[in-house]
Amino acid sequence: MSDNYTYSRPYGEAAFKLALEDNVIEQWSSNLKILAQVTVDKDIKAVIADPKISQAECSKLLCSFLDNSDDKNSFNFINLLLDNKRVFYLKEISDIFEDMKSNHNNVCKIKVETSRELGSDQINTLIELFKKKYNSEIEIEQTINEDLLAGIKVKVNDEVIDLSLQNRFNQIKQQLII
Amino acid sequence: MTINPTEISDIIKAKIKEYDIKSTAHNEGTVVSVSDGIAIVYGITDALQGEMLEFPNKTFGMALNLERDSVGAVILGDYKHISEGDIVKCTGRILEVPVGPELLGRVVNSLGEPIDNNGVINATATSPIEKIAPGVIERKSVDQPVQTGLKSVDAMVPIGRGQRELIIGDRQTGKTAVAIDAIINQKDTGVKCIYVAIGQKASSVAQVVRKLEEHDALKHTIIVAATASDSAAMQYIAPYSGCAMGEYFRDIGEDALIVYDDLTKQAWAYRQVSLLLKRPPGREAYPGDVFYLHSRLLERSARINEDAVSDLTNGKVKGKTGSLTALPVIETQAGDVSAFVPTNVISITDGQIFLESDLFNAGIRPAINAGLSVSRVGGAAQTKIIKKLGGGVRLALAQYRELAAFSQFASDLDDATKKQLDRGQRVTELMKQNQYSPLSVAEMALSLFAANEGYFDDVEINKVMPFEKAMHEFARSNHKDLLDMINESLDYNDDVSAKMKSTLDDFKTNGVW
Repeated sequence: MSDNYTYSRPYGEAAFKLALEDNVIEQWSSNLKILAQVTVDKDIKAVIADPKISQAECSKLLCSFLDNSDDKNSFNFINLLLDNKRVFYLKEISDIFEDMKSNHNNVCKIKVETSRELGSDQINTLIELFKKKYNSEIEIEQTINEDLLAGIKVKVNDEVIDLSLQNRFNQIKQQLII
Repeated sequence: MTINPTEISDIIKAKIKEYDIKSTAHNEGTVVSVSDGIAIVYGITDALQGEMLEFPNKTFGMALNLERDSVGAVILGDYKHISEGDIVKCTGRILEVPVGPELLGRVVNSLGEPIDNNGVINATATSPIEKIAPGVIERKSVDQPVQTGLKSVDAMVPIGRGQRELIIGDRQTGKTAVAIDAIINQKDTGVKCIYVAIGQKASSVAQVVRKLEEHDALKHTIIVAATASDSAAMQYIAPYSGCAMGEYFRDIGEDALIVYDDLTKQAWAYRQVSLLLKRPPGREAYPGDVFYLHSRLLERSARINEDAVSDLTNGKVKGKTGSLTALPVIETQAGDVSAFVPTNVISITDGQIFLESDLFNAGIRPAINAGLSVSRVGGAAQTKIIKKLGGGVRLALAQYRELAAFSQFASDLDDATKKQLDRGQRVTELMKQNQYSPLSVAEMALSLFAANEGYFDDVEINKVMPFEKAMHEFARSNHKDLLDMINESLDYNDDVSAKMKSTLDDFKTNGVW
């Protein structure tokens, strides 16, 4: 998984730069998402891996899923991936593209875990707080996890801020045992 | 119903008061793959080289490879319960082990956890296993001896406090025996000992523990054991853990002796870890930094001066120097000292004790090759009396070796040559010493004096050892004051030499052997 990201990064970055130059970021974004979904399909995988089917046919097949199937850059991109045998890394490439897109738009994605559903005013306060902290637009993804008991757990990239009751109980448990 | 000692109300009260509950922020990642004790972790972008990582179920690992999108970590201990997708947390700390006098007399693993069934260790202090060695300013030159109690070592390759003296030889040449004798001889000297067993059979370690117990030497010794059944990661870090425990004594102005038995196996363990982490192999498939692996470890054995001790103890200990003496052990294959790891460690250390299987099989034990064994700094630390008397022994042995080869061709030898050959044979015989029978400085001096003055010349070769034994016993019962005086002053002058002469004359006329 980690290796896949390393292999995919140059492709994702190149695609983003190209899209930025031509000012077609949204179009590339949706294309990559489609391709990422397509290439995980079992039958499509079988077709691409089949040695009897030529590369030209494969690229034609993949292009046919796109909205603008006659776009030269998209066509070349798919061919390049097929040449270098990196076509099954399209999911990671799409992920990297999306990361760069949100970076470019100055949007920070935050995953919030709580034991109960948050009210809209609570979400707004969180957004305000993190806007200050990260100095960017905030996009919140909420999940419910009843194991937390109460409080909140926030995850930004790899950084985790744990303000949950579960964490506090764990700390008490450790201190009492030692 | 049993009450836990931590359940006393005062303790509970104190604990409630000092509850320190923080909301925590940490770095998190997920396990991508686990194999052979190596975990590849995705995420934890802020991980540091050598940082402790927390895996589920209180298992810890050490980050060794920091790559673009992943971190390669070795898992310390069992890894069977860790699976793909598990959460890994950064701890922000370097691996630490408990240190202090509480560990003396205990057997611990590489993490400082007791493995001797004698209950928990209530050590208050901990220390990171990787530390930078003392710098130039903190150091002091070596000028005090570590007495190993072995005639051949103390007379010919003396070891000073803070020195690194390599013990090198093939398998079954008595390397461990030399090290264990040195530990036993530290019994009443105040020198604390650490024995680090790396990649050995658990039965061998148990035997060492038993022998030390038998000779009442366990109470000043810490045993760090990473046996052959422990993971390669544990074997790799064991010397560093032991060194941290030894450094504690060095830094509070005491003297400590550490034995790494042996560093060849540690290099093997490190090679395994490195290859599994996909680091490129070099000579003999060792990674590129195998020299640094040993140099950074042995550099931590040093003697530090009074100011450094005072600084390190915040002024609590003044006017004392601290030292950590290292006896690393290297096992050679068929006497090949030019292999990668032996040459490295020879060049790092301040001398070596070279043990040979030919000598061992010829019955010369300890099987020290006097010609190839050297001590680069120990001469400055040798006790005066041994230095004075040991010089003659070295010379006699060197001349003997030269003549012995030559005399095989000659049928008729002149008297002077014959005499030198006879003397050499007796000195070689005298250098033999049984295991677990260290000698005091005075006893050693008496033996060396007797050899120099020719008291052995009319003793049959196979009677040399019984003669020496009887001589020591005679001196202990009839001339105890002389032995005590030598042990006290460690000095050599005309008075001492006259007294030794009269003692030996007395023994020759009245003693029985």
